[in-house]
Amino acid sequence: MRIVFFTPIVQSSAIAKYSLYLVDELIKKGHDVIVIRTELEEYFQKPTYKFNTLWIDWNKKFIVEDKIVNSDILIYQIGDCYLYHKGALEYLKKYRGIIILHDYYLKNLFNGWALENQKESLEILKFFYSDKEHQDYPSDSTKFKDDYSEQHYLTEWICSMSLGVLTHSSQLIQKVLDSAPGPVVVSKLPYLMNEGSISNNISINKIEKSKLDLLTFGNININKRVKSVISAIGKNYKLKNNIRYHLAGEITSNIKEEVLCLAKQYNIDLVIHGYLDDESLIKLKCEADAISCLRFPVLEAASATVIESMFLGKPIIVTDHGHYSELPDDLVFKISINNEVDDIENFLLMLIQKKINAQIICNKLREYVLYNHSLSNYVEDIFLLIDLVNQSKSIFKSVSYFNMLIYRWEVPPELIKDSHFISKIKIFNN
Amino acid sequence: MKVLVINNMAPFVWGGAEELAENLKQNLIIHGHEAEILRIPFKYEPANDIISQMMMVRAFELTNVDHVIALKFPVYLIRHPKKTIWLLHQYRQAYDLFDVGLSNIPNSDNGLKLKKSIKNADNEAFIESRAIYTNSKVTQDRLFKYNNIKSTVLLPPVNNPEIFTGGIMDDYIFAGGRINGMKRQCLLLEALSKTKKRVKMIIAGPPDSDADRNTLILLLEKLNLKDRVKLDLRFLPRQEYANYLNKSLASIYIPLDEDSLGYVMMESATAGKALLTTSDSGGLLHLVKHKETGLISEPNAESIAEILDVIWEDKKKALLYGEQAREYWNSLNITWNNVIKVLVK
Repeated sequence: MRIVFFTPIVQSSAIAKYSLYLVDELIKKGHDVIVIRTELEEYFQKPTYKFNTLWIDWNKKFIVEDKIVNSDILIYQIGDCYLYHKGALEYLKKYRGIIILHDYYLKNLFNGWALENQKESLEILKFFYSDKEHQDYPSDSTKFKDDYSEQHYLTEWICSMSLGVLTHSSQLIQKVLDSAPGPVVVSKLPYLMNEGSISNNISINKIEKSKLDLLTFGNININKRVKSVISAIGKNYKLKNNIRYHLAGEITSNIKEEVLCLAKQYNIDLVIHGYLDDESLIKLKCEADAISCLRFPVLEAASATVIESMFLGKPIIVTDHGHYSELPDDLVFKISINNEVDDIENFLLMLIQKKINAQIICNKLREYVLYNHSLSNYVEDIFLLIDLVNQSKSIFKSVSYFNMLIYRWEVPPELIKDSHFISKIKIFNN
Repeated sequence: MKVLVINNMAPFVWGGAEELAENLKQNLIIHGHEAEILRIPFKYEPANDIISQMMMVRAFELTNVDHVIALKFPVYLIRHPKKTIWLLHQYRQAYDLFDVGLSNIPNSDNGLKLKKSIKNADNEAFIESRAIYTNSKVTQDRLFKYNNIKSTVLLPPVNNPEIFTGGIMDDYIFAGGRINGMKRQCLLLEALSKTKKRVKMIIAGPPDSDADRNTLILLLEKLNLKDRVKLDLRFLPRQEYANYLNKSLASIYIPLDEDSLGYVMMESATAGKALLTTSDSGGLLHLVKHKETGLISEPNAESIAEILDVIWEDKKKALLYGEQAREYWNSLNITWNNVIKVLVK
């Protein structure tokens, strides 16, 4: 099958790394894959992953369109970062394909796009949410209130432009089902870590240490609950003396200043590594005694961080919310949203008191990941979705036709959303 | 050539448009074509349902058809590479009737958007048609005024003209056609109650609804006109209808702003009957010439009563106007032969 695969390829993108493995697996299975890199032009000079196939910059439109028209299917990697996915948005509306949805919450992606597409973005907000309060968006995005953003994920905007959607958890799946015109498949995010590099580093963990190392990695932002972790360590003198907390990943100067200030206030041992290359990050992960995968609010459809951490066999804490709640209770430690700091404190106390049997957990975690997050199964699910898309083409053609009429005739959105109107075309529900 | 005539369908409602489609089909066959009628259900209430019905029509795919002749909104939205529109009427509630407050589309933000969508769809259908003919000057003018689309008037011929022979006049004025609010039979009864003479009338035709039937019957009783008015409220066999018309003293038809010349009037002219109507009856006024082919009154009971009295009292005048109506109609040379040639050329 000739596949055109839209993805960021810069090393700072987690999705880029994931695409590297996925594209490789597709090629191994005999498919002809061409990668269209989708990050902003400003990122074109940054280090990229080395894909084992041809890749083309998204802004070479003539060449890209030629590849598109000569392909069998388009696959778009979509996450909530305009900087990494601008190129995908340039083609998605005109050339529909399968969307691999990494985040349910796509407001940041939308915000970036809206700055250059103000009129259309307002129409989209109005169409999906009919919220007169936000008529001035995005010229004054500060008025895009928090309560609004929690309710309005913009998932609908992206999914409505798809032929089919593959997502990684059933959390918020209804938003996808309501907006995607084609089939939707849920497939667990695959495990992608290079096992060789883990084996080389795993022995580091056996070295006697004066303190236990707790790690948070990825882009360090507010929703990774770093401040709660610092507070939990800081309120207990045993933890202060026995825990060293590491932050690895890009961090803005504001957040860095905030967490340093808090760490100083509690007098805890905090190490901010900033962005690390793959090798250094793996080393750090292997050195860690526990990993914090806390998130709130939960914005992703699934977390690669959790899967990686599970494969490392480390004790892990996750927020008891969203798709994290779906993880087995005997494998991860779930932290309640309402009792967050105390729950983190209890977990860390168990850790330093060696009440957690790390070896048993390690084996169980690895078994779980290998069984549930196989890349091979994931690719099978992608092709299941492609089959379903092909089967639904005639329905999709009809829906597209009606869509075109609605657009050309300027049928009022209020009328389309009228339940009576929808019931007239309910034949398409199947 | 395989010609498909496409018309709307409101189940168990039969009127001029249905007759026209049927006769068009028959005459296409007479002229050597294969012809069928496709009737597509349409109901205009509630207004919000109109768009989905338009979409349904637009989604139809016709095969094994060489030529399509579409007659009305929304069936003229149907797609075909060789489509001729013989426009009987658009959805007037989105156009002229909206302007005068006689529309089921609300005069609101959403209503205006709905109206615009109907206009956009109409324009799309008109532009893609190979030719557009209208059934009257009124329809033609409206199409140009609201959609800026040029068309050619193609008047529909009378169906079975041979049965409208005229004959010895009896003592009644005939009011034929569908019974509904727009045709204003109630106003006729009110006018009769105000005549100075004991003018008699036969009102015959199918009511659109039970409400239309009951309203008329109740008003007849209320105005105490039973001894002067015969109500024959049903779909009449063609010959029976012609008999009523042929024996009448004159024919009256007072629809509100009718698009076409009106079958009732065309058949009355064929039968050589004096034509009576009101000044707001639209396309009919191209056929009813005051004191030439008939009489035109103001659209109120008093004025209508006056012309009823005039024609009742002066039978010679009725004869004269009737004869002139027949001559004028014949001079227009509106025949199926001409119509078929134009439509399938």
